[in-house]
Amino acid sequence: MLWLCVHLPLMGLEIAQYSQDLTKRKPAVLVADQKVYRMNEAAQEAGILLGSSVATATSLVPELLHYRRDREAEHKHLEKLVPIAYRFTPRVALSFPYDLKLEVSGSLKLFEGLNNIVQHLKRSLAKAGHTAQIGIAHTPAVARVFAHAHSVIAFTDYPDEATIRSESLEHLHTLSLKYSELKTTDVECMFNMGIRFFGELLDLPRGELRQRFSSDVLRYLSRLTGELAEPQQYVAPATQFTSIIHLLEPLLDKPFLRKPMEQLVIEMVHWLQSKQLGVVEATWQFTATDAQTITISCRFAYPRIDLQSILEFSELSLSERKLPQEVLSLRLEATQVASLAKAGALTKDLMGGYEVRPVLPEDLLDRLTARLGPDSWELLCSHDDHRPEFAWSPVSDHSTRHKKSHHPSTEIAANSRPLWLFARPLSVKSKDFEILQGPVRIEDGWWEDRVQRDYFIGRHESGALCWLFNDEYGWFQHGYFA
Amino acid sequence: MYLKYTYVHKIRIVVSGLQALLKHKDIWRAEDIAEIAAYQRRTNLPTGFTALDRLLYGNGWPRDGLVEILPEVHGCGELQLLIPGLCCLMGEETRWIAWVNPPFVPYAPALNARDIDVNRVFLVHPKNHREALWATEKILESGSCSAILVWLDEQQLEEKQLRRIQTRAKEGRAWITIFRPMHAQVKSSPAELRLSLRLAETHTKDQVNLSILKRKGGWPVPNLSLQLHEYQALSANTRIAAQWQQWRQQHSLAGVKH
Repeated sequence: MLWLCVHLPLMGLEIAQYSQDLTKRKPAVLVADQKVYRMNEAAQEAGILLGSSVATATSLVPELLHYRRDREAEHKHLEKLVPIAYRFTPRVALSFPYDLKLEVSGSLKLFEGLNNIVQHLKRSLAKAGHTAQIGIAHTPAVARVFAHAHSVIAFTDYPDEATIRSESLEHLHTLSLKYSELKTTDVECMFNMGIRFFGELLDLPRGELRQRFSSDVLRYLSRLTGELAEPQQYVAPATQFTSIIHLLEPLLDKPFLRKPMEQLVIEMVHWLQSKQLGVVEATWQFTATDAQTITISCRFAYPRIDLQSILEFSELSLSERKLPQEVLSLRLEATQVASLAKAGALTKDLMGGYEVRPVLPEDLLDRLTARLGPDSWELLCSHDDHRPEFAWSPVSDHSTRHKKSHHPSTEIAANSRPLWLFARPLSVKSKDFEILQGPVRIEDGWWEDRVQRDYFIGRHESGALCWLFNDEYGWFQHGYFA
Repeated sequence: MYLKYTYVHKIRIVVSGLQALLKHKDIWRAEDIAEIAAYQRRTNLPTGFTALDRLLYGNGWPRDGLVEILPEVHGCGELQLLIPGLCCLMGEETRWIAWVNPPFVPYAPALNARDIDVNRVFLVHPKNHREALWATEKILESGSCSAILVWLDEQQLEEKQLRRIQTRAKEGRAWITIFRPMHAQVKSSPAELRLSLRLAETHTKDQVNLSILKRKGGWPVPNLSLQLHEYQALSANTRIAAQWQQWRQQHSLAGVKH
């Protein structure tokens, strides 16, 4: 077993701040029960202490930003990070408030080594706006200690189980007990007894410990050494994707929307990757201060999974729409998804590296849809039908086209059909034309739209070659031999 | 001595400025034509009409550049003129063909019958001139189309817009054809090839008169008679039909009424 524990020490602060980029450098603290609970580096440098009151902290740094801890939001956010972890292994467990546990022994080969996994995981989390501390060990409990202590053992890319166990335990001996999962009262008690490090605690005889501490302590120790199995409740990404960002301050301008939009798209991309899906239709909702909501759907010609293009096409569709003055919340939903394997679109490497590729016609069509509207373009499709107007049809959905389109079995002589067809036949006078060829009788469709016409090729007075027909309603022109 | 130095210095500036000008991609020297043509002969796009090929720079349609076609009326062979070139392009490349703002429906079965893969054809229907220009530019920029056929609103079309399209076509390596009405021939244009199409007078009905209004590396060519394939085939069909009717009449059967 090879466990990674991802500890996100500043997650509470990061979710409160993630629509604002600039504030990251300013001192900021997360407040729980009127006390400083977490703080960023800038606040630490300013000399603020954990557990001090907000008043004390503000007296030290007058421009201090403070946010109230929102447990519910933290809980929800940690669940949102599951797709990121799920890309590396199906064995992902959550441990609230700030930890994710991953069992990765089965994924080493796929990701070409342990260090690769750690690098990729860190990078993905950084993209999502989090600083992560990752601990690696043979049990989840020890991995958690390492993550909290921010202490890493340099393992080889493919470590064997015995080495992981021995090295982890050896390293654990040197770490302070304050990183343990034990009750603070117990830890304090141990400190008073002169037991400061894990090593000292683990070396003590268990029988004596049992007399002085509760059974929880002993259970924890056996979990650390791996003597007691620690069953985990594995989680999987949600079956549907919806995500909302509530902004702390209303955004007044479209350019400022880019950052939160990107955040949402990143989340969606992670979800799509974990489910091996591509998005075909994404729906954006922008809610204003006066509860007015604007909904914008982006349709894609084929299932998409790359951040850049989804974001680009979303912004293009946005550029043509009027948004409310003050946007307070954004919501993104993957309203229609499709399997990537079926679409054959999964050509990128699985490591999350999505390289730049030349623009496909599908990208171009999506760009046109985004800016000019979904009915701004069409593809051609020919059908097996004798009636000229039914022998073709416009298609504006790229995915359905390949199924329908085929070369008709009724072979038409190259010159018997005109290149230009009128969408609607034009009523004409027969005396304006000199008939060159015909008639050809086309009679079909008695069950729906009956067609009974004699087609001629004629030359108009102006010299143009025209496709004409004569039926019970008179003479009509149906196209040009252009 | 001092004077002489400045003089040389000035000449040097003039020469370097000229060099820079000559390096500009829109400027070419007449003496280079043979050389460039020899280079392009390998990569040109045959029009399918030998008589026309011989007159064109690089012996065919430009693979990256703006061509203007000025047909007299609809249905005087303006599409047939392009079809062999488009077929050739489709066979060589996997890129697509775009039709921006076509006046009528390009008839899919007819395109199929002429060996154009309709799976790689798409139409764009812009709502106004601005959108048409935007779409054209985006298509060229994307580089995902090898040929683009465009119909623009002549009244709103400006020369600078054409110039921009021409530069974008070079960047996107696309052959773009703009169809303009006949009266546009008096206006100046940055297109590297301009052709006007007129139907031939009276008796030889299976021909069109093509005039080259502007071409790279040569003077305009008026009234080149071109036999379009379709017209040939059609006239052959008409001949057979006439024979058939003659035969029916000879055998005193009711003739087909026109």
